[in-house]
Amino acid sequence: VKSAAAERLLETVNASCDPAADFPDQLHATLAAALALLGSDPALAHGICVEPSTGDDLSPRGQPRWLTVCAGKMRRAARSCPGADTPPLFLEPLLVGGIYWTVSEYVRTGRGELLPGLLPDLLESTLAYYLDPTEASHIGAAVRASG
Amino acid sequence: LTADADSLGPPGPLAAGTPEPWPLPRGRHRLPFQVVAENQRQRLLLGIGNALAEHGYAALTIKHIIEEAGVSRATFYGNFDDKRDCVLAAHRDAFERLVVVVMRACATEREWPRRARAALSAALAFMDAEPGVARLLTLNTVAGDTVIVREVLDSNAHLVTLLRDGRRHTPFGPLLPDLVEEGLIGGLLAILGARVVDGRVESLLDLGPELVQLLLTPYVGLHEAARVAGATEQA
Repeated sequence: VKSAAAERLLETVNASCDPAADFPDQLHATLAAALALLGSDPALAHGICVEPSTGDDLSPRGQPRWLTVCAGKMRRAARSCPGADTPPLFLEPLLVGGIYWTVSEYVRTGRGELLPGLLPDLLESTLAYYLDPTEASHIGAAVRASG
Repeated sequence: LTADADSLGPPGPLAAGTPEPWPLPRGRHRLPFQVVAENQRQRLLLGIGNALAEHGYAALTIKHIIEEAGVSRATFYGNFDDKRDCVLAAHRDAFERLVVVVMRACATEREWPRRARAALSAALAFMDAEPGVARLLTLNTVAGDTVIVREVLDSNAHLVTLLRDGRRHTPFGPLLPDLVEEGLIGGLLAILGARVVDGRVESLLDLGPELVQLLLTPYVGLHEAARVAGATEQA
């Protein structure tokens, strides 16, 4: 990934995530770290979500590769989930793309500081594809309750 | 995904399914002025998607746009104030046509999961048939212009609202967290945008069954989503 902003984001989420943990915990840590970083650093969030410069991997031509990299990471991390034995090919691109668009909409509309509050919904929406929906809902509720 | 197609009002200037404007004959011809002017405007509206895909919004120039459309600079300024005006008009036109296509497809089915399947399949067919429109609808390259951002976000919000109706008609719908539809619409646009940027617009139809399954899973569960999506291939 050539973009300095994207590199910093990836470094932060990689440092926050224990690869030995199970997938829900890895996803929780990754999302929490990413949302906290983007919510606290408007310039970084702007660089990633609003005005990727030409030549960056977040630019129009680079974005598919960036999407593929992140989706591949999620797919590998999700292998341990019971429901992930034969996931649809586009599952992770859909989830990663959806998270990126959702976060971008908040940043573009000047609501970046609210990003950490999206954690329970994004976590639950994503886990619902891998776990029993009730289990995903319980995890989302626990994160909401923890504040 | 419940509105009646007849209640949508007229489609955009170029009706859904209308083939791209034909090239005007070279040299002298007797085509009425209005026909020529409308043909040129439609070429600008349809050509800008390709120009955006190639250059991105920030680097896009009037020269790029008129070269793609095959019209003169004077013709461009006869139709639009600037590139923002042109992009806004093209996006609005493309989105209106997409909504008409989607709602007409929905009107062919009664149950919500099948409505959603019909809507997505029709949208893919629409973009598959018009690569320039697909590029315009899926590109995320205009973020630097706040006016265009507002337009794109409003369009996406409309799709989110249409999809959210599924909560009232499906077993898991009432239990879903708030941001499911934003994620689904954004994810679909990201996948389609990646295909479009890769120049693989012609293969959008191939994605149909799997994207239908992924779209329906939060509302009806994995197995029912797979069953409904599978029916796409048999239809």
